[in-house]
Amino acid sequence: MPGVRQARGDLRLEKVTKTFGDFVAVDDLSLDVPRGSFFALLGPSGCGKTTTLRMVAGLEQPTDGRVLIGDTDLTGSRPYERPVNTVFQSYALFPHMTVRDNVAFGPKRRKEKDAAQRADDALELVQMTQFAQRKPVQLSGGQQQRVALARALVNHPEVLLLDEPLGALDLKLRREMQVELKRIQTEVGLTFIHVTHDQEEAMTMADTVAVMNKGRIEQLGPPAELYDLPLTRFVATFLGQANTGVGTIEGVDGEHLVADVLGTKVRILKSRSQVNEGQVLFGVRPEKVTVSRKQPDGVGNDVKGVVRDVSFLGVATSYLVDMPSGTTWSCYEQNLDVEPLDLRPGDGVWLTWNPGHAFGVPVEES
Amino acid sequence: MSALAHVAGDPAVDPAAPAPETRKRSWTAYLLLLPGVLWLGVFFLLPLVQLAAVSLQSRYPGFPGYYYSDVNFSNYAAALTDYAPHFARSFVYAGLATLFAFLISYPLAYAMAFKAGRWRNLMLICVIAPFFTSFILRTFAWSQILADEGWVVGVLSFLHLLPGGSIINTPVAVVAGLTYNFLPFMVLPIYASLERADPRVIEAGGDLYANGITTFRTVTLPMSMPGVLAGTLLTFIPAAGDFVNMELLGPQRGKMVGNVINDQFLAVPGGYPVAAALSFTLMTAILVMVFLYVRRFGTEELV
Amino acid sequence: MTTTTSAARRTRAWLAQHVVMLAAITALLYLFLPVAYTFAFSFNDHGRSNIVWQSFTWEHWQDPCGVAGVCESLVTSLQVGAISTLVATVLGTMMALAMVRYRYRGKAASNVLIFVPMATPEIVMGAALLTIFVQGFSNIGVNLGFGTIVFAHIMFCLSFVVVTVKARIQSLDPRIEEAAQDLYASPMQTFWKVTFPLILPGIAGAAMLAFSLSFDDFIITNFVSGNESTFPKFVYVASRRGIPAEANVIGFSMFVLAVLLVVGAQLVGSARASRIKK
Repeated sequence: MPGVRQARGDLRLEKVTKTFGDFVAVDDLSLDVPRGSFFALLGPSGCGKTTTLRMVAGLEQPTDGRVLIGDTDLTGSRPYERPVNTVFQSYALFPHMTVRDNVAFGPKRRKEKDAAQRADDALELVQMTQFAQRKPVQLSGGQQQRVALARALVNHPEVLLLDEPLGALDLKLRREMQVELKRIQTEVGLTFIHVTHDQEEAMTMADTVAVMNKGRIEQLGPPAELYDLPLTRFVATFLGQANTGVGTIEGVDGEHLVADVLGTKVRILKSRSQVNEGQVLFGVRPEKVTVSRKQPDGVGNDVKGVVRDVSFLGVATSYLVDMPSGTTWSCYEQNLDVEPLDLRPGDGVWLTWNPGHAFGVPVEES
Repeated sequence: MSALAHVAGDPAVDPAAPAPETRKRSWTAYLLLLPGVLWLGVFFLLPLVQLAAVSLQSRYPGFPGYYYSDVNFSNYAAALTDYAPHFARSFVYAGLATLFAFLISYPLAYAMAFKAGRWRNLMLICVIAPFFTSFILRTFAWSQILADEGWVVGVLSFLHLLPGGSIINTPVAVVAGLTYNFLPFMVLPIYASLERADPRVIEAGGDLYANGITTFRTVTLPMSMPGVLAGTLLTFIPAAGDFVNMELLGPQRGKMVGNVINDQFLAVPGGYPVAAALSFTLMTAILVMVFLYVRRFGTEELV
Repeated sequence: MTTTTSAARRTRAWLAQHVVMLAAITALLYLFLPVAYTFAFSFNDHGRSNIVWQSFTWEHWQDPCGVAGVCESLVTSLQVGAISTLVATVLGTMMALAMVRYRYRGKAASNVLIFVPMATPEIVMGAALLTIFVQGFSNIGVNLGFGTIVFAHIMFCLSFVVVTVKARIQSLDPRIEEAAQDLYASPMQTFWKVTFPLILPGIAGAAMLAFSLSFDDFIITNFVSGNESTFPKFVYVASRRGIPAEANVIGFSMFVLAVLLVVGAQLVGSARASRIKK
């Protein structure tokens, strides 16, 4: 297929489906990734995110649908024909080659004249120049990760795929590499597609996060938006923590819907609820909830609960509160006051929140 | 020569191979397989078919050495009645040799896997090296070592441990030779499976049971079972079909089935049909035994 | 835990360790005993048969070919071994690649086809080959001799090569080959630049195994060799009268050669490993 390697532009998936026997790994998925963006595919294992990535790389072919870069259709082309490179989860470095030969592998296959020079430049970019003559087994996990990155970057691919690239690293190194990856992405300006099951990692690095579940994209958008206003139960619970309760919508009060959650009346902004009648899953993030000893004056949205557990975290204190509905809520209170609340398990407390922070999503998972 | 260990470690089972790319065009696979499959077809399967045909042939009465195509099962009847003792001896001697080889090999493999440290490779070489002296030469050497004038018989006689006064030309010498000749086939697979095992698991077993024998029975032995399985097969099968040890070390009478097949083919005119029937019976018996054995012990749980 | 029990335990552990090691060393001595015997009797100034020790001589080492047929049979064995190893290794590696890396119909059948020759006694294979060579292939001009030995040896080495190489390919992370494809290597380039170098140790091991199986085979060779003589066959025939010491010289030399080869490979390997550790 001529021209595939020269394809330029946004990455587009059009109604892509991939089945393995009876198992539908990716289900009618459409996606647009603007050129030069850092895009994260986030989801639990088995949600189809890696299969999606492999279809972009050409390591799997879609059962149905198309994969395009710009206006060039990549569907059916082989991995080595595509302007796409991958950083594999296990790094998959060539164990019999030195670091430099690993990095120069791609340019050499493309018969680039200055392959060695470009390999050295790429190694410099990931700060691995001093290890150029080593074999992969002589490197630590983090160093191997950098080599894998250099080996992909050196080709200046139109799209760079990262398959759980930080999964094998320890926490500290992972934090460092998150910053590093973001720096490199900004520096080279390539489209990065980052597959991960770590919501924090996705939110830290990506411009756009797509949350995948059971082969479909549940919600897509900037991390803050996804966190603030999840559209489905899955996104609400997978991305960060959420205090939730199933309720029934009883009426409208101006801008708000009023729902009854096991005897407690709660209000949700109409614009923040995906359902307008019947059952709704009400939710509010832990840090949006205020804990107080006395019933606060105000417009309602308060519930009385019993403290189950208190953990002092330094910058904040975390409370677990048993609710009358039988569920347990978690709340973060920043330690701003000089005198702390001094709550103990068994104490009665009032929880309250700004109705503008609550959200409502369908009870059933789609 | 770690190859031997590999071979022996995995003779039968094909663990589900990782198939990363499901869409690879299969005609490449057929092209890659074709020459080898053809070779095995022409030089393994076809000869077996021919052997089966010969085993059903009948002799022309009065013309020794001549036979015609037929479906005559009397060769099998002869094989099973006339030569039943030979079959029995083959399987008993091979079984004993397998047992002794296991008893000698296990400590050796265990020492190599867990105790040898930096001597491990040297020991491995020592196990494989004798292989390279022709096995006939080594078997012949045993016939001299075990000879009546030799020092082994001398010492044993002196200690009054040898009532018969002789080892050579007895079944004892045959079993000793079989045990010796196929020993590396037992050591290497057991070593390979022990080496793969995590010594920390055995230590954990030691913590849980404290008793060394219990640890061995419940942890170490089950972990090495794939190797033991492969080793016993790789020892028993060639031992049951062997005739060289009997020829060089054994008595004049009371031969094994291998000797009969060899003689019928190469020394007795017109012996082909019976020899073919014997071969087929031997092969079938071994395949059935292997099948039952693998089914019985091939699973994970043993104890 | 009191001091006495832990001391007792330590003693027992020490004992256990050394009992196992002692048993292992005894087993190794047992393995080497006939080799030592073969070596010793290569210096025996024997008469008609090399059975009883007479007196010491260098004679056989100075002229190992001094007995009719011994060196001819050795050359035949080396030739058969070389050709069989080459063909069996190439065919076996191809099969192993197909069996691990591809999906195709009849995979179970191909596994059985590889396994059954290993589970068939040599004497049955020899007998079957003899019948087909004599009753079938002789009609198309195939006569017992060098060619039939090579045909047979390739056949029984093949399964062992396949199993050995298969194990090596299975231990190879398929992601590494995917990475090569991802980095613009065509299927052929992926094979020669990545797959082949990585499975080469397995192929080399398989080749050594095939050579040693071929070189030492007697039972099948005896059936299919006709008038051709290989080294094991020479020794077997000679054993009825007493093996000439020249055969001991050759047998022991092969042993030394093989040990040197293995030790050499080990040293190269460990040198490489220690360079990597630096």
